[in-house]
Amino acid sequence: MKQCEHFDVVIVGGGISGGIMAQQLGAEGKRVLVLEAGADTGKTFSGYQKYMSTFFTNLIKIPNSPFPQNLNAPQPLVTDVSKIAEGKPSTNGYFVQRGPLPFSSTYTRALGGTTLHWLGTCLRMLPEDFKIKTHFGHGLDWPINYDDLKPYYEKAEFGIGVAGDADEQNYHNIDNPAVHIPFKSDSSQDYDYPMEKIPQSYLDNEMHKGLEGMTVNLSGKDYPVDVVSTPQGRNGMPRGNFRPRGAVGNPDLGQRCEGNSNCVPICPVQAKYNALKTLDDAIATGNVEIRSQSVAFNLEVDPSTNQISKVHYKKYQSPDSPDYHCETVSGTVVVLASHAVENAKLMLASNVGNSSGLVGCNLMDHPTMLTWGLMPENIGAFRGPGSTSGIPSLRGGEFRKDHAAFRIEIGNWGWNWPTGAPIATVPDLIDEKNLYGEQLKAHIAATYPRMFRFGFLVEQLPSVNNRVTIDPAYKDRLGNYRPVIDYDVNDYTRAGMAAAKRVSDQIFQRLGVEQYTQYDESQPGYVTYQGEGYSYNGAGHLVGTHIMGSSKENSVVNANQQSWDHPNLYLVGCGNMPTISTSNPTLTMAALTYWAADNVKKALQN
Amino acid sequence: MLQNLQNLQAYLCECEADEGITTLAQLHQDLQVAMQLEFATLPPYLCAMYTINEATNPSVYHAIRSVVMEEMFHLVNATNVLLATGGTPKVNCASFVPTYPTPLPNGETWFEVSLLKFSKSALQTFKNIEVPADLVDANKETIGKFYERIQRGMSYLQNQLGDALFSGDPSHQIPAKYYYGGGGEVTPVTDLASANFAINAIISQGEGKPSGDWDPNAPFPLEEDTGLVDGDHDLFNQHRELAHYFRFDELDQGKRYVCGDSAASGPTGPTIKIDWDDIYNMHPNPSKKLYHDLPQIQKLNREFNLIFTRLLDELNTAFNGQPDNLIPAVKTMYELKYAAKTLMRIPLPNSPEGFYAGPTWEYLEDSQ
Repeated sequence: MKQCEHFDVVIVGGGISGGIMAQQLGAEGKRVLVLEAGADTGKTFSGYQKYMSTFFTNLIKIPNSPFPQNLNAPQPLVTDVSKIAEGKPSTNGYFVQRGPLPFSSTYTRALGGTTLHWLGTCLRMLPEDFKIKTHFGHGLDWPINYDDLKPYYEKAEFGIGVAGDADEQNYHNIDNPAVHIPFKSDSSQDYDYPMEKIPQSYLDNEMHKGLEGMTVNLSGKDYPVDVVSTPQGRNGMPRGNFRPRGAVGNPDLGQRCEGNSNCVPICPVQAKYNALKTLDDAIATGNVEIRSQSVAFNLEVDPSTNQISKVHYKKYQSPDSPDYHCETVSGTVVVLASHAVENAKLMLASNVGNSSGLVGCNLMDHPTMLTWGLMPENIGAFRGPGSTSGIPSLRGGEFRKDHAAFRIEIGNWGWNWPTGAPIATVPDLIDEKNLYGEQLKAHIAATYPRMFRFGFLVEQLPSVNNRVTIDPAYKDRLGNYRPVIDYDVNDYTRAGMAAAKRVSDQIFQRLGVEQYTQYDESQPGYVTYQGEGYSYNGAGHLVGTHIMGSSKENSVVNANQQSWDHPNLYLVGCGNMPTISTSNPTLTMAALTYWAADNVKKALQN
Repeated sequence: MLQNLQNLQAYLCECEADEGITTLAQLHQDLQVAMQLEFATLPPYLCAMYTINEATNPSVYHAIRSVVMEEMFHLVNATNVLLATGGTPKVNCASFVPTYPTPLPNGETWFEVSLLKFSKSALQTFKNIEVPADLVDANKETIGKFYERIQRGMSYLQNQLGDALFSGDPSHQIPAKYYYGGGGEVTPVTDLASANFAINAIISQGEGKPSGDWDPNAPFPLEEDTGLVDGDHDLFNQHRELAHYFRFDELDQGKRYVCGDSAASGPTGPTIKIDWDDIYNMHPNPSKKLYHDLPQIQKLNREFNLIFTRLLDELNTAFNGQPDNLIPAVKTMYELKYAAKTLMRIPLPNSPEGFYAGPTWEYLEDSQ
């Protein structure tokens, strides 16, 4: 019988959390294997440029457009999302969606993971976000608090390379104490981000001026509407000795954001952080091996110790062929870092770690409601990174007893998200409106630079009914399970959307924005609340399928990110987060992963 | 400031004959000439770079780009030394920019530098610009000597003036955070040692310092996998540390230098795919005269020159107490690129050679 290869740590998944884990443990001299289900095209600079070519030639510029669909490790696409008829699951894409509402977010299955197409937003959670059950009577409390995570936030901000100004990101100038985030503490008096903030757009500055002093009323209390820059995993001016990391394989390129306005789906110069950089650092330790095109499909448990004794994976030679063979490895510690949905799927398929029955449950996203219109003046739309500022002042407050909180993202790319402008809309001007020549140019010049949109990232509460399951009837080409998803948006979130729309209307009125927002029943994410209709989109923030908690009854992992059931099994990624609140989850997930890495280090010492 | 780089040869001869730098004014003059010299290489490189289609010739594009970035680094180093010694850089005037073709020293001899599309002859020019001192007779090496003269002058003046030599306001210098995208790191100049460090960075990276014991058969410090890419060989895989001359030599010979290769062996690695046909056929040394009866191209060329003028104005303010003016200057550099590319994509009428337009790189004194 072939001997099973053994490693100190086997990590399933080569994205940001797998990369951080591999780099941290490789640097400690541990022998690490990373199993990546997808292809490793991006690991060389020329490979990354192939993604660029794929993007250029793809007619539909969705977030996964640079990253070819791989039937051996399929990925969900936003173009798969459709309305779901009762009792008739939607099986268009990789996901099997049972509804009642469609889950609209996607991820990328290739080395580097979804950081290949993320926007790069790196917000910390508010202190109150860790205890929303206690404060507001909804959702769940975390078994850790902000102060526990704070030093790991700092590690994550340096690991990713975040550009921002701590003096703005502590929100101390916002007249709403609920959102204040302490950055300084006894241990770090003069902490600041590794890089200065990315310059805010002209639109941001105009909006800041236009909204100065404005307040809105939520649940009977006035709250300020303040425009604040957004911290980003994007190279800017370094502080002190920090050196921005350029493109993998071409480090001189991408040391600063060049304003290519293409962050999603792919930064042409890799000025935006992607996990290929961390994985490259991991390989440089000399102790980390990455095996791509290797899909883990079963975790074997030693019944005498309850340890995960073996990881079985299918190795395929080419994404173009269904041929594969099975391999087995073992690890003193096994880390699942393959994404919230994939981690849950693998555990369910292996029937491990699920004594709580909560594996796959509590799937969350930020249902993102867009509002859009035309500014009275040219605001230079379609320039710069996707978003450089937001309105964070409504991220927290007493109103969370009544409805969801939300963060407002100010979009720099006009109506790109709501309508696909300009690529998808200019042909309409020609084909439908018969515009051409000077007239066409004049129309574009008069409207496109004034296009404006908000994104409202509304918080969603954990629910056992929003979940990932598996069903033998639905498998992919390699015979692995496809995720089956049940998903709904409850009234707490819908009430948040309604409040967000009211705020949007007030801001539009104040700034003289001509409203073009339209929600109608044909949109897959159309929902109603108190007789009014709203639409949500996926934010790509897949959170909470193997949440951490205070006991093995209420959670899948403990505060150490360790499985309650199998002592050598650690889970990382956004799946560990018991609630999503209003921050894009990557930074918090990265911080939790640095925490988990410390715990794995300790475990390996013993 | 030199009125014209045509006079540089005579100037450098003078320098060799005189007693060396003995006054602060002379030091400032020479550092200003250094800035001018470093800047003079940029239009030829950028012309070649912008005639390339980035998508079909990425290797070429990135090779030239990497050298351009380092030339800008040299410019900033010379500027910082000038600022540290209390000088006043001046880059926004017509005489700062040469009229091409212009003579430049290549160590041993002088040769004409033209603005050319990317081509074999452009590569020959680039290799001439970047030829390492090690490849020429050290006694005849000119540019290295010019910089060494500056260094000797600084030592002399340090003895005369003491620390007062470095009287410039340090906050006026360009700090490290503004320079990126190329090899080297800008270091603050505060005393003789740091000034020499900055000048040495120019000499060793660009012009090459004669080392005396240089061995043409010694392998380059390349790692095992440098220059090799699985499957296709169109781009490098790992970071490369080759000197400018050898980066161009690779393109010229169509092969990568790999581990074990030396200057004597030449490149023996994988073939570099270069599509010589997918290059915009820019007219050599575009001049105003070329467009005298082409008002539309004249207009585009003037737009280019207005942007170029604005760039030099912004750089001048950045070099004279407002370093943060480099932020808008970077945006202007991109505008310059787009304006150059626009011109290079316009075929000239009645051109039997099928030439296309190109920018003339003029500072417009009357731009206001």
